[in-house]
Amino acid sequence: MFKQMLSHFVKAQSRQFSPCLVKSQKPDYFNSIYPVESYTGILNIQLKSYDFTVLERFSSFVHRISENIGVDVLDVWATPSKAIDVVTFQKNSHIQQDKYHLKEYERNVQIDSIPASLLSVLMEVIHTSLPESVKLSIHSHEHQYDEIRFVPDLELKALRQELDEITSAKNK
Amino acid sequence: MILVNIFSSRRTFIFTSFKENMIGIRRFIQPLLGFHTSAVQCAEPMKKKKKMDPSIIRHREQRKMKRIERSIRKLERVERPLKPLDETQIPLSLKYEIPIRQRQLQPISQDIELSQRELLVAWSHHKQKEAERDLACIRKLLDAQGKALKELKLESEELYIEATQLDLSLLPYKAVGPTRTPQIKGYDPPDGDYIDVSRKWE
Repeated sequence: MFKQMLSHFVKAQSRQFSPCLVKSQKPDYFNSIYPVESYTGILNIQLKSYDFTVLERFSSFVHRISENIGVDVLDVWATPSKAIDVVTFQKNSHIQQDKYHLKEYERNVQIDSIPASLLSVLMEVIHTSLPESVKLSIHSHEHQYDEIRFVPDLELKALRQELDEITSAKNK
Repeated sequence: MILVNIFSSRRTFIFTSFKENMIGIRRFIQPLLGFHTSAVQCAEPMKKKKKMDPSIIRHREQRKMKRIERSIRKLERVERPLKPLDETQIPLSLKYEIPIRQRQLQPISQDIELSQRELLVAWSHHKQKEAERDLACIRKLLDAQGKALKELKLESEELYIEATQLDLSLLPYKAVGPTRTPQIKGYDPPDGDYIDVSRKWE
């Protein structure tokens, strides 16, 4: 109930002084003539860490907090992890001293377009609550972030390449 | 069919006359016929290349392109599988170790069970209060921001619009969590390398 109250409160507040939120009541051309609050596009809150348990907990915290602030969370997903060999060298030489095998895990929380003022609050909240070892990156969503989750179809890629070759040979 | 190679070899003859007044050496380059055979080929000689009709070539290319496009469309329709996440997968070795790892626990006494339940209640109460405090803090933030923006709008429309614009320098926003200890003065970090050895799917 408290959650609903808060999100309702936030939405009511923003409605008071951002007429563009009440789009249904005003015709579209009004928004283009009179620019008001600018909106971010679809954003990805990307969390990376070597510590998996902390990362899982924090990603669920981010999800919960965003919902409570009044942000629409579109999707939460995990990107496959990166295996990294960390090698340290002895002083002033290339002789290997230590070798560590680490895995860097990644979680993403995708949020819908929000007003810029709300984004700054969200950023501050997430940054101050960042636990040890977690790296944060908030960026706009791009196709590559989706692509990296799927197994690439090599057959399809080869066929496409063949088709490109034929068309380019024809155009010549 | 045996191919016969006929080649000429050159042999020089040094011709001297028996007659005393013949001076000099006359060189004669005389062809010497030699026969040479190759291995058995069991093949025909090369046929003359006929020029293809350009319309037929075009037709063939079009058919090939259509075939490729059809197969591309078929493959695109299939849903792509997601890469498996190794953090969510249980190692197979553990599955075989289940009977060894299963514990046979003794039943707990009433007092211990009661204290455990009380602890759980206290913990959930504490976490609830913590979450409420967090949300109250956020609400205060949003409240203050809302009031400030409202006043700004009454003051000047332009400044309000400027204040609510998205600052593109903010995105992408990068931050790192705090470290366990503060900075160690005079610490000399070792040289090293980060080598990416993750599984390649290409």
